[in-house]
Amino acid sequence: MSLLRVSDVSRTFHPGGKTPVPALREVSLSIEDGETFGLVGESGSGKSTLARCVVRLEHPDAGSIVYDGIDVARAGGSELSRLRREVQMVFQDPYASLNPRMTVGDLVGEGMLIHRLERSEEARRQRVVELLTMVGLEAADAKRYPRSFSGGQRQRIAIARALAVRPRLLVCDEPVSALDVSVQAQVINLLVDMQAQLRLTMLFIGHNLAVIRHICQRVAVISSGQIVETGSRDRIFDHPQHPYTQALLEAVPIPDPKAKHHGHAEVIHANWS
Amino acid sequence: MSLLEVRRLCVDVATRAGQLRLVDDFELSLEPGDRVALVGESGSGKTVTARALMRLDPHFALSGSVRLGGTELLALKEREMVRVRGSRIGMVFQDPMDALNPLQTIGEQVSEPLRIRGVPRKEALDRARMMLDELGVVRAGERMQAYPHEFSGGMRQRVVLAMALIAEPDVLIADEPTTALDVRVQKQVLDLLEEVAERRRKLSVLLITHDLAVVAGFAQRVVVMYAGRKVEECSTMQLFEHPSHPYTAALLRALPRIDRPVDRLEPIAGFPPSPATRPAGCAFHPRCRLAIELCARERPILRPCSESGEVACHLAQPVVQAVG
Amino acid sequence: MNVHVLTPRQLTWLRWRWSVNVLDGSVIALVVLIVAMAIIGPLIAPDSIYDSDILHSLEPPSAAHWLGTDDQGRDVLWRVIAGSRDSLMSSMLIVAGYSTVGVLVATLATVGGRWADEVLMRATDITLALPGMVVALGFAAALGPSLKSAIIAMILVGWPPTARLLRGIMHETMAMPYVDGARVLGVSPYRLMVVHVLPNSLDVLIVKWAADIGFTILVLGGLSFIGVAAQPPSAEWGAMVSEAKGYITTAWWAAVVPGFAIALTAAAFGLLGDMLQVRRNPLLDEP
Repeated sequence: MSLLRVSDVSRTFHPGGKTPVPALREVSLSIEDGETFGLVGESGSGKSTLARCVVRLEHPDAGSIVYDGIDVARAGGSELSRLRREVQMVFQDPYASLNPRMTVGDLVGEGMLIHRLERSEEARRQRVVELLTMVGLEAADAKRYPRSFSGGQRQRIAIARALAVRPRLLVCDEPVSALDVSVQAQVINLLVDMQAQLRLTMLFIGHNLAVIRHICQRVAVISSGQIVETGSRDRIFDHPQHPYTQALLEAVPIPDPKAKHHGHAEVIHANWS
Repeated sequence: MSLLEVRRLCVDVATRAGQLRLVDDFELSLEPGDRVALVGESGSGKTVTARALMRLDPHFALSGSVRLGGTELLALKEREMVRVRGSRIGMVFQDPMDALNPLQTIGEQVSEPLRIRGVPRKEALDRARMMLDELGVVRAGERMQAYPHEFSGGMRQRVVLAMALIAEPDVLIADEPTTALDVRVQKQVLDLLEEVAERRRKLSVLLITHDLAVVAGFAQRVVVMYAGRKVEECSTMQLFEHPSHPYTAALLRALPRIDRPVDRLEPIAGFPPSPATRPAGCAFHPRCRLAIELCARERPILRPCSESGEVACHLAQPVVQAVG
Repeated sequence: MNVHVLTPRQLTWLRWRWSVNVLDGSVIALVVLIVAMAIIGPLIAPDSIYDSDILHSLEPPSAAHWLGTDDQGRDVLWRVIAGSRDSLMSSMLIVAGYSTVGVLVATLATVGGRWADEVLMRATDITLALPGMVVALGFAAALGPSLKSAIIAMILVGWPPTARLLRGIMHETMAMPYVDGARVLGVSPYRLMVVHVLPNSLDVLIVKWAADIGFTILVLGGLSFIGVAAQPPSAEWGAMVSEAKGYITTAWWAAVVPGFAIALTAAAFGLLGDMLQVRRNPLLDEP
């Protein structure tokens, strides 16, 4: 059974006084345990709205989202508690996703505190150090505040915070889009490593096709609130069927002056894995 | 003599601790028809440099020389500089809304650079319509009556491009015109820039970006900046095939690529320094795999490294120029 | 041209250091002085400030009485010093009182859903429309004029601007990704408010408090002046001015000195508020 099953989810926004905006229209997808699933779309496609529905920051108007047998929108009591532990999220903006008034140690440890995952404060502190080290930071960083850190470091902190509660599903909403190129690779590698080490399932949302191609095993393409195509990574990138997918791939600029940019069929192939 | 000649340009800003140097000793030559990309990450100073060419930031102290067609721009009074902006150098910004007045029609705004230079209103509006038409705005005549909020992002870029080009400048500076755009709109904007450059052979275009893929598709020459300084300059082909500076090489290795998938990306450790915290010696040395002891002590200067390239690195082999 | 490359330590130190220019420094010094006076003044002032000594009434400033005496023969300087507690502490109490009410209202409006929000905001609007002075007079009439009734009245009337301001800020804060992150983590609504939303919303209030204290001192002084707040023989400054108003042409010091104290304190706190406002400007913060 899939770990996450999204069935016919719809969500419409009603901005005051203007025409309703259908952000999601009968969106369906399923994610298997252990896989990295990519959701590609441009701005306004609904991808972030879907992410928010999966983590229960918002509720769909219709349809259902089932995580490991739990109906996400209707969960209560212990089911909700389990949901909150097992489904975590990493956000796009590293400068706004950490409470500026909490120390890094408190931030990373908060999940453990509220879910009572460790026996004592000392145990919690130790695990915070473990997590910080795991994401490439130092034990001493626990006493500092987010403002002392760079964008890439803050994303590491955010990842440590999310991983502290031992989630099974990690939803990443454009986690590297706001980072410098030289730093993006660090965080991408970290996510890949964490996923392998902790056997995480990941829903990776983005608009950068090269990053998605690198990380994901299966991909869904979303446009104007609808999934236009789903498939394995290689199938989508090598043999896109839907015109929208084809248009997207064609438009991706290649960092190679010799490549033709108009038509992805002419890109230089090295080694398709 | 080059069309645009920048020599030893330094940009400083006053802070509570004294002067902070944002850009150090930047040099560049542009000929008519050149398509040059200025590439860098946060803290590289690329946007500050581009803006300094137009003297857009009065609270930054500029020193050095910026000569456009023989005129020293840094010596001009502000009212003289106003005449330069728009008619000799045009600029488009990352967010078109930065340049567009939400309360004025498109027609008013595109024709403004002409009207303020004394071109009669009707003629200015006519030329504005032609410019918009040329840039792919359908039914330009009607759309001139519209307001910026009625246009999509891609359309707005066309409008600001029209504004920048209408007074026929010699140089066009495009500051991150594709950043924050969806990939399809990005392609449209790049294609547009390409068309403009093709049609106006004498126009020099300076494209500021952090995206190497965009560089590959547009520029003939690339200038790489890091921590406020130029670290490499060479032809685009050269840069992608045989980058001379370790930073450039590392950047290329760190890119996830849709055309050349890899099993694992090679990141650059650490992060780009802010102007206030630049390391001594070579600013990149803490992150450089090849760094030697000299790199921490002494700042490398730019030296020729190939036919037309130069690089600032202690480890690059300098090209000894034949004398005579 | 001096060029500094700052080490991270230097940068951090700069962020914490007050760059003391003369105006900032003197404002802080003044405020500290006034607050110190309010705290220790009543403890060190002689008891005689409440006793009548008609023999020495309305004496001009002299060696024995540095700022003269009032119509009851009491030392003006000591009364001003002792009275600072009534004036300043009462103002602080008022500001603290209505701020607490305002914060509570804003919090309830934010967590209580659309309905609570609507009801509370309308209540805010209505209270805002009430004329403060009239309410104070009403309380004076109902409970008898006293400092206490004036304080209650001003608290009851003063909370709406705080509630409005804070509600707006809290809504903004709630939209921040770190609040989303806390919700995804499973943080309870209580903890969400107390740990994540409130601490990031309240710093605006700190600036407001400084300016508010200054303004409140003025208003309180005014209420005492017309007799509905502090009553004689209180050394509250407004009451002092009221008692001395009849002698302004003959013994001006008895009225002018407390009046000046009110003005100076209001100005000092107002300037402090301005200063905090400017410093909040995140010029030194990271992008």
